[in-house]
Amino acid sequence: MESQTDSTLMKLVQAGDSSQLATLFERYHLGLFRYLVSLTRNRALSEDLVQEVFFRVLKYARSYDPSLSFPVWLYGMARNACFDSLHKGRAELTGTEMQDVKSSAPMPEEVIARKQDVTFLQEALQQLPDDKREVLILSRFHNMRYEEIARILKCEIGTVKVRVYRALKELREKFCEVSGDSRKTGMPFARGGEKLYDV
Amino acid sequence: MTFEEIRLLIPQYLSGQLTPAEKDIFEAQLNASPELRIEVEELRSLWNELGSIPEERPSDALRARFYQKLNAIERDRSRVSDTGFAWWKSGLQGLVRQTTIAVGVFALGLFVGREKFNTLAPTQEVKRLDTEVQSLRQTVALSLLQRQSATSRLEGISWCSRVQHPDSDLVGALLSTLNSDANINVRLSALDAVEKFSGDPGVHKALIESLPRQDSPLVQIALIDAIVHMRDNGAAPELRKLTSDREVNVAVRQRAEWGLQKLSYQ
Repeated sequence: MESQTDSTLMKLVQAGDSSQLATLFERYHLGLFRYLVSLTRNRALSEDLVQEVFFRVLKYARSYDPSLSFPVWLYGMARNACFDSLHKGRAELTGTEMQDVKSSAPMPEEVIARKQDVTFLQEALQQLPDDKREVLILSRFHNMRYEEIARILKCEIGTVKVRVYRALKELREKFCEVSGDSRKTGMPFARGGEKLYDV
Repeated sequence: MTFEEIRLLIPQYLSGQLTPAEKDIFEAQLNASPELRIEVEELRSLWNELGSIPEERPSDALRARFYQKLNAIERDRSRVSDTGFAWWKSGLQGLVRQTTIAVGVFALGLFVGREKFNTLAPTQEVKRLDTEVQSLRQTVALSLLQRQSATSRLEGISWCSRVQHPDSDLVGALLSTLNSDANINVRLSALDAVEKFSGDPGVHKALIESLPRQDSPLVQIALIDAIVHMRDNGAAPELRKLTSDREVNVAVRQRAEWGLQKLSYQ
């Protein structure tokens, strides 16, 4: 049994079969939600935006070119919806609610330390400038290629390349700052991340 | 390619996105430069650590709201819509409006009563009334879940999420909807609603047992995600069965493999 491709589903949506939107929703809503949370830092707003984006897909289905990547089109639309929303002042940028780490029984020390490292890393990620956090998230968590990211952000591939590298370096610095330990991940972090390039 | 340009390739090297030619150049430089090796190892550690960050998950309401709206759009497309405020009609909209009005009036009465007879109304009485509101919501949810129309059942699931402490009847009805509802969208929404109670060992077990019963790839994938989110290694045998069954949809097999990796990592 084979899955239908995104472009096949979009052709059906373009032909008026809106039920196919459900399959696209199931494929992409989790990733899109995470991306939007990284942009808005607001879970409730991100949920509203996910819904809005999928109905924009329905509304603007005819403008989709099936020869192009659907995720790039979708994420570009999400980005526009997000900025529309922020300009309307709907967002309350009060910081992301960190996901609770479930805990019940006492945990071994190394497990606690590991969870703490993850918390520090989340905090460091939140401290990155928006443009760097966005490219890093698209690259690391959404496995997008630089060409795709460049199309979403409407910039040059070279800009993405420099920005991802610098984001990773800056994340390392921030991680060391918030964890108060230059060797938190077991790597020689003490060298610090010098600024190399300007975009 | 200069040394600085090669350093910029580190993230792509770590994510396996370099072209074969770029990879050859990069690895040659890596062998020749201890400085580059140190930097790659530092950033590799960070890159891998990023994979440990828990994935943000939306609330269960998102899926239910999406399918309600999608169903409404499909319904509107297939028939002439009635835009009048026909709250007295016997259809779903009538029932929902009537129930909403009933709960609203009840809550208003509760508020007025509390304000007017504050000194007379003990906390226990307020709690009792609150319990009655919850019970009323539960009754509405159960009633809607048994309806023939998929939109009504989706509305019922939406009501389930308003019940703070559902009893076993309501949880049972949600599980039954997940396992046997004819409509995939309703099953997906039921999964979201019931996942909220996955801390209950009975629900936990029921979700794992639901996996082999599902025939829709969409529901199978959503169920795998839910099970992985619960971090229960007991689900591994069911996931393995999916990965080895050639009749299973390719995307489901891939998701099951991903689930097994996640569970073994945890």
